[in-house]
Amino acid sequence: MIAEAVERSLFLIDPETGAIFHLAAIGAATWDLLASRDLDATTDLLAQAFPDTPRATIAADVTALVDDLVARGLLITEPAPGRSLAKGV
Amino acid sequence: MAVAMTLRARKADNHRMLAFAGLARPVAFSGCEPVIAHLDALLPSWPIGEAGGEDGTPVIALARTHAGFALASPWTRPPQPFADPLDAACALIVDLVHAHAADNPATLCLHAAAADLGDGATLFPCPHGAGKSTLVVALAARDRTVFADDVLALAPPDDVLRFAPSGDLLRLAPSGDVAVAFGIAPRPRLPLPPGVGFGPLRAGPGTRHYRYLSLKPTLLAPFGATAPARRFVILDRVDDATGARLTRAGADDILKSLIPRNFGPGRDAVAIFARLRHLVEDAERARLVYGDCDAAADTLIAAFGS
Repeated sequence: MIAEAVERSLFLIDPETGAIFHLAAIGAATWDLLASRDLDATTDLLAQAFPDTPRATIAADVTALVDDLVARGLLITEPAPGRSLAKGV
Repeated sequence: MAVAMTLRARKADNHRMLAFAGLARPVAFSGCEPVIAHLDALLPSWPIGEAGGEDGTPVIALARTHAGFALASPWTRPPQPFADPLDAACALIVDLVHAHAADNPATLCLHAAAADLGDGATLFPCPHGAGKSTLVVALAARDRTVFADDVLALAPPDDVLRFAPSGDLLRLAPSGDVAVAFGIAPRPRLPLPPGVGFGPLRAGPGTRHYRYLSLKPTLLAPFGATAPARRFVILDRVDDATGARLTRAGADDILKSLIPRNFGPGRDAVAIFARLRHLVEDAERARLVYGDCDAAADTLIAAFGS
């Protein structure tokens, strides 16, 4: 998987299938955070960045994004303790 | 119209094998003169001739049936029936573009409209229903050349030769893809939006769902014509809006719209992305929010026309 940042977006390119996926600004930021944090820590940081949005809403959005990325094979779960996800790049 | 005259001269033939420029294999027509008769209006500049025997098996086959016509190709499976010869000709054009893309792997193919506002191609990479065909008709009515109303190719340009101030002839390495026209007559869907008409343009063949336009040669870029991609404009039609206004669009906005429009056979997504990104980042970028097609055309010409 190749990730290309263009302005505020991220394009994820799968050379195997030829598919190209687009993540808008928030999705791109979430992707970057997930590279070095687990789901809870990513949600915490986003909640700090968007204090007017309930944490539960952010958590639901992040979970939905992660579920979608995993379903598309763009993210893989990581079995190691302390970090639940690993970027599939 | 030498092409049309040549095609019509063989009207008595029942089985035809026609060679289309850019395709490695011919197209077979069996009892399809009513379809062929439309080609000079729909493809006024695509070079077409009788295929020689050495061209091999047809890549597309169109045959008369008891109910009309049937089209078969690698892109139309199973074969599709058409009662109206014009509908069959429309479907044939779609497959011709697919065949051209397959036989020219260095090109990309885009579902996009484009017009020359005076300095090259302005591309509108938008999905069906965004109003791109109607907009290029409005631009043609204002004497701007239609480059495409639905599909065009992107290809690496030939080397460019320029004279340096010293008088030396320089061969410049081209920096990116150029837009390539197929020369297909524009085909707006009917009915046209309220207040929009063909103006001084001449209507060609059509049905109650769409109508081709018969543009004079200066208003329709011919098959194979190339132009630099000067700008990309996303169309954002708002039905209850009036007027038109241009706003900035990011390179990511344009790429998000452009990438799904590519339907070429190329499988190297990394290379395709790099080409499209280079093209987009080198071009002007805008979003056109409009409710009125005439205002949209006037706004584009006022902003970018030369």
